[in-house]
Amino acid sequence: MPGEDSLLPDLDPAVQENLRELMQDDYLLLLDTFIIDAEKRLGQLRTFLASGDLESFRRCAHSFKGSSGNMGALALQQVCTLAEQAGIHGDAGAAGDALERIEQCYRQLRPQLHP
Amino acid sequence: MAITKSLSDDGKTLSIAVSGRFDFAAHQEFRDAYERAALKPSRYVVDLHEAAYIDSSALGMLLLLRDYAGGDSADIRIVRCNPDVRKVLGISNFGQLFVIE
Amino acid sequence: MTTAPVLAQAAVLNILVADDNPADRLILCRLVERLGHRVQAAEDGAEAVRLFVSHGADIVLMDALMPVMDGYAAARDIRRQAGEDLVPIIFLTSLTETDALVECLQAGGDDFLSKPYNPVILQAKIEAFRRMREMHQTLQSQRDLIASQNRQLLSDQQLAKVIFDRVAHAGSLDAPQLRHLQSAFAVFNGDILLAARRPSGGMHVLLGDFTGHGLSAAIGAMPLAEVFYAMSARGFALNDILRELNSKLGRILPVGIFCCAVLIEIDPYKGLVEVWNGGLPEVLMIDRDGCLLHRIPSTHLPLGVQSDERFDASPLVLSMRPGQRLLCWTDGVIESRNELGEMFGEERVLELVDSYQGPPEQLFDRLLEAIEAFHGSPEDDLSLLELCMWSGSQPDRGAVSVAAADLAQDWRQEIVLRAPAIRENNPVPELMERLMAVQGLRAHAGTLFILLGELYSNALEHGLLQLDSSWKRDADGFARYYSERNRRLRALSEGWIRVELDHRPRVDGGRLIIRVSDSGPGFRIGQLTLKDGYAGRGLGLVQALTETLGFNDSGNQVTVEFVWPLRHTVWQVDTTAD
Repeated sequence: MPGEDSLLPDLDPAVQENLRELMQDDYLLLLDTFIIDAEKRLGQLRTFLASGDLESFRRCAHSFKGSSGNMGALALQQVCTLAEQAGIHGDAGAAGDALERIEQCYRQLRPQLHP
Repeated sequence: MAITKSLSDDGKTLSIAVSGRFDFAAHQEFRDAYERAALKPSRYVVDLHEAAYIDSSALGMLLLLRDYAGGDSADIRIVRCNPDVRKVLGISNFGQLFVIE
Repeated sequence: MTTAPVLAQAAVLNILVADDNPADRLILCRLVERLGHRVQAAEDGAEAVRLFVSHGADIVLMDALMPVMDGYAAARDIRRQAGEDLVPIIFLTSLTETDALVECLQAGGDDFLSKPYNPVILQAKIEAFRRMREMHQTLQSQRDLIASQNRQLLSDQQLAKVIFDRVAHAGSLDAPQLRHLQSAFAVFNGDILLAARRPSGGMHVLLGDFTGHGLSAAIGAMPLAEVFYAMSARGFALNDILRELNSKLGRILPVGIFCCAVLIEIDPYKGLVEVWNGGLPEVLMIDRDGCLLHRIPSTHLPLGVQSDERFDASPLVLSMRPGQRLLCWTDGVIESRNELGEMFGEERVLELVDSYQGPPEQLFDRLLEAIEAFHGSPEDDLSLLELCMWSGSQPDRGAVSVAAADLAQDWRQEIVLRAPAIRENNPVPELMERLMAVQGLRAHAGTLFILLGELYSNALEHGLLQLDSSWKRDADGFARYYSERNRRLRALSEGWIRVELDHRPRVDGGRLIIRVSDSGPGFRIGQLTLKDGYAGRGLGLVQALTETLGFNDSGNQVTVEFVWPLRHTVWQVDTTAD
């Protein structure tokens, strides 16, 4: 629900513009790659949290954070940071909260990822 | 080891002072001191006041200077030598080639 | 953000990208390609190492946190694989904690690139590391070049050392009257030690110390040794050899390279030594009881410095009796240093000699021990020579092998030397060469050398220079005699000496007549007995070696007859008594 992350855009248009220009014909490929990876990570995060493996949870969130940033998905990047922190501190509760917010951010983001 | 040079006001005498160890490491600088002078002076003074140590390569450098300055007709004085330096010059009898003070 | 321009210049790099996130990997690879470089992509550390091993890489962009093998471990592996080559590793990280960044550096990382990737920064870093790599490669190839040139130089030096050893340490160094030491280090530090027997049975010794080490010493040593041995073998006197050495070295060696040397002529028959010291520490003469008799300091410029015209070849002449010793050394003894950097010094040597009480023949060993005790291992040139005078007797008769009578050797030769030639030259070696053309005379070279030498020096010293041999009764008189000899010789402006050689073969060998005349006033036969002082000793020897000896009325002409027999057996060589 609205928190700090609502202050950040879901997707930075400038970054998208640059990526379009960088990838040219492969822009679509990039979007698909990101989406596939993102959905995989969501699954992994759920699994790690359920099994209590907060170290793997942390690593997964870290990587997701990175790719979000590269895509310009700033809000998503922010909540991934929270998830990572939770993982570092071994705080399963905070980790769970962060994961919910990640899922929500992603749901919001997904429709905006189009050529 | 440091080498400094100075030319007299009338440009006729070039003084070269060597401090520290006067050995093979001084070779290039010592040569530059007299070869790079704009005008060739007629007299040379080598001041060894600060030279703590002098070995056979330094003697060689003095011979090179003498050769450059005219060989037998060169006017070179070696001044302010400490006893150790004087001894080395003495054993080699360089007083027969240079004026040593 | 505008398009980053593709670099116009420089080589294309081979860049390895390792990132476990596929989207990030895609973006980064594309960024690198757009900069004009080739890219390889790995999705974990292990694959990164594999790709590096098989394809190499000029720069590595490595994600820090990766599965299978993380970035740190992969970086370490890649570093190890790269060996001494420089492979810059840039860690890709969103890590901001200092500890993590430090770990990146410790793992062998050279820099960081943070996510999200900034193309401008990426380009700048790649450029910076490219320059660094090029510099590193330049350094490597320069280092390799220097190393290979150094190896070449070392190998040249090795060769020079071998040649130097053969040349500089040949000769009669194993003569029983000589003891010498050269430290292993000195052997190729420019110290040269030569000893040659003279035809007369005496000896020449040279101890030298070249400026510079290594090649310059080797180069100087060769002509030095050649001249020394050749001239000594032909019977040249010390001053002739010195003039030639100085001249030759002066011509061959560059200005600034020279040879400090002591040259010694030992004449056991006359009981004297001639010492010339140009640049080495004092030569000491020590009596049989160990007492210091003379100190002979350096009074000449080293060899190879002075021009021919100004060179002073005159040695100091001293009488020396059997059992007395000469001690000389190069700088290494004086300059040996201990841990405190103190020099052994001349005073210590003199002190040791003065205070020494034991048997004189062990002084040499004590001196060596003292030096070694002073500083353990010698790091500088260290050459020490001891010469013990022996008593001279008849020269070697030599072995006579079967020789056919050489009927063609029937000739007469005369040479007249006038004052200028007398001042400069000693004709004995050339005359000897003429005589050695007669095969049957070769076995008697020693004898003939003594004969010619004696007769010539008589004519010169007593005939022309009018020296009184009675001066030579004591050490002071000795010195006075020789210094006067030099003075008068230099001042000689008139007069002549004639040497006639007349050889006829005989059925059973040959007969040689030697006649030496001079323009001096001569002497009354009655004034001179053959047992009188030095001259008497000399002429006594001549008489013993020849069939007949005779003077003319005025006493300024002496004729000797030498007969050599043809034999079919081999004679034993007379050993010189010690």
